[in-house]
Amino acid sequence: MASLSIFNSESDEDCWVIQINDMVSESHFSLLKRIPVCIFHVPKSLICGKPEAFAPQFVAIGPYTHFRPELYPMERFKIFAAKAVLDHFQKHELKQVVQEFHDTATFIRASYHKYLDLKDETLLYTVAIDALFLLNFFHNYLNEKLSGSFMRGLGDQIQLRGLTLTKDAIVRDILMVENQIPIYSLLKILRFESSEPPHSVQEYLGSMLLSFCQQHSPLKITNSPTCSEAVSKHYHLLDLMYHLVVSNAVKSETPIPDPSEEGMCKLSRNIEKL
Amino acid sequence: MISVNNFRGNIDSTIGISAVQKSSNSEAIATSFKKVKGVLTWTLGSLKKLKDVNIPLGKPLKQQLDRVIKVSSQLDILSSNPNGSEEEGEEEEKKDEEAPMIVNIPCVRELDSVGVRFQPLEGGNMAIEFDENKGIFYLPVVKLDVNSEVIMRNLVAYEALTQPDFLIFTRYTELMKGIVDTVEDVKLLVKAGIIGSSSTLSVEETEELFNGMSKSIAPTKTQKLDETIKKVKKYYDYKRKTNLLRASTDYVYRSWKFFTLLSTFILLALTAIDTVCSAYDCQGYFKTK
Repeated sequence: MASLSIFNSESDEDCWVIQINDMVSESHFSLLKRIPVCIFHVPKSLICGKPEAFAPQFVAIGPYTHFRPELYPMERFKIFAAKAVLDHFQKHELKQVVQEFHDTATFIRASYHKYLDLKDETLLYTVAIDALFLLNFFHNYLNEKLSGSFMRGLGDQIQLRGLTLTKDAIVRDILMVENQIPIYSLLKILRFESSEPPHSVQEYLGSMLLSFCQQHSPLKITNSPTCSEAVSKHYHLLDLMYHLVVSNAVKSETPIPDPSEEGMCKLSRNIEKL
Repeated sequence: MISVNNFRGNIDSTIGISAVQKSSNSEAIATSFKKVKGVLTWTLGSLKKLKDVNIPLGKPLKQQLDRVIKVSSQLDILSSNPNGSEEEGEEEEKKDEEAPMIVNIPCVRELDSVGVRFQPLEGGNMAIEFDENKGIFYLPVVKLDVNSEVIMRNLVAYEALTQPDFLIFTRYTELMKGIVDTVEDVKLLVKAGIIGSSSTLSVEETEELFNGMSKSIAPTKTQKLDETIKKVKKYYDYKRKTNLLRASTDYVYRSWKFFTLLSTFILLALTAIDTVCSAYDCQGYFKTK
């Protein structure tokens, strides 16, 4: 049934008022203007060719899909995976991570195209769990010699009995348009958890993401950016993959000025400050 | 003689049609005329040749031929003057309308048959190029597995959502869809190294993957790639035409031997008759009583 309003109850409306006030507050407004909407709902016209290619089948990442009933059975495994990462660093509890994220809710919201009918706290928990799960998933792609001691010894990834063949399903799902979370949320968690200097953390994350993309890209990737660029210049995993695949085309054909890139870098810097 | 007359009939009727079309001046003229024109010029060319050969034809037939050829010169004027400009204008219009929407390109097998070679692209995946002099088509290396279809579809969707003004990846998938028609095409691409050896999909699955990709819903605005596609098409058409020409001339040249043999025999026969007639009184036989 299609609802006529984004609200389901009166409390939603209160939430909405708070969100709008947050958005127009001086400290946020100038930043928000620079955050591009980067995570979309796929319009029906694009889906119709093959609907199952756009709807996650196995694992939900991000607020669009996190609470879909058909995907919720994976929640338990995602939490195990997230907990494994937290246990590995032995620094913080999930609650503290979410606390650390607290001020970024408005910015995370801004990346999503559709109105998110979630309270700030719920949204942050969602993003935190998914980000930790992704970190757990990606660390297997980490280049051995680059990784050093970083995250090594983190238990073999999500041990689902009888579900070991589902790695491909996860790969497919985390590259879907609707199934994205901003890369900076991964970066922020890693920086918060790891005791390494911020720059090398960014390198680690970048090399993880790049080798993931290299392994799964449908086209052979001929030239790739540096690891830290991969993190700072791209909004989410699919965005990174896209720019790796089309690589030179944008430069050689029509140079599209991308003011949002700056905004993104600034954003991650500002988020650090917060 | 009958066939020549048939030709004439055809020409007369088509010229009649084109004359009517000229007066009606509708848009359909240009296209239908263009279709007819090729055939007409060919027939006229051969008729002229026929006349030049100087076969001892009957006089009435020759006169008719003359008439046809005279009409043909009018036809040339007809095609060059008023319709010519119209045609061009329309062609341009068509280009604007159709070119961005559908990739019109021969499949790999056809390209291969005219000698186009496929080579992996180096440096930049979407810098797809075609070398007209060497006939080399540079394509990015594809590495396909079970995830590829979903990933490619999502990349297409993401591109449509974030930069609708420059759908380069979408255009690339359309190009692949265009050149891959059958399993045979996929096999050729695998051989050329365009489909990497690390691909785990079978040729059938690969063919389905490329042909299953949906068509773009909007103009992709990718000029450079469109030009490359056009270049390939032109090269293919040109090569095929020259191949056809070469084949036909080859055919004629090969049959020259036969023609010489035939004419020699005829010559010998005539000489024999001549000799016989000089010895005996042939005229007496043919004389009517």
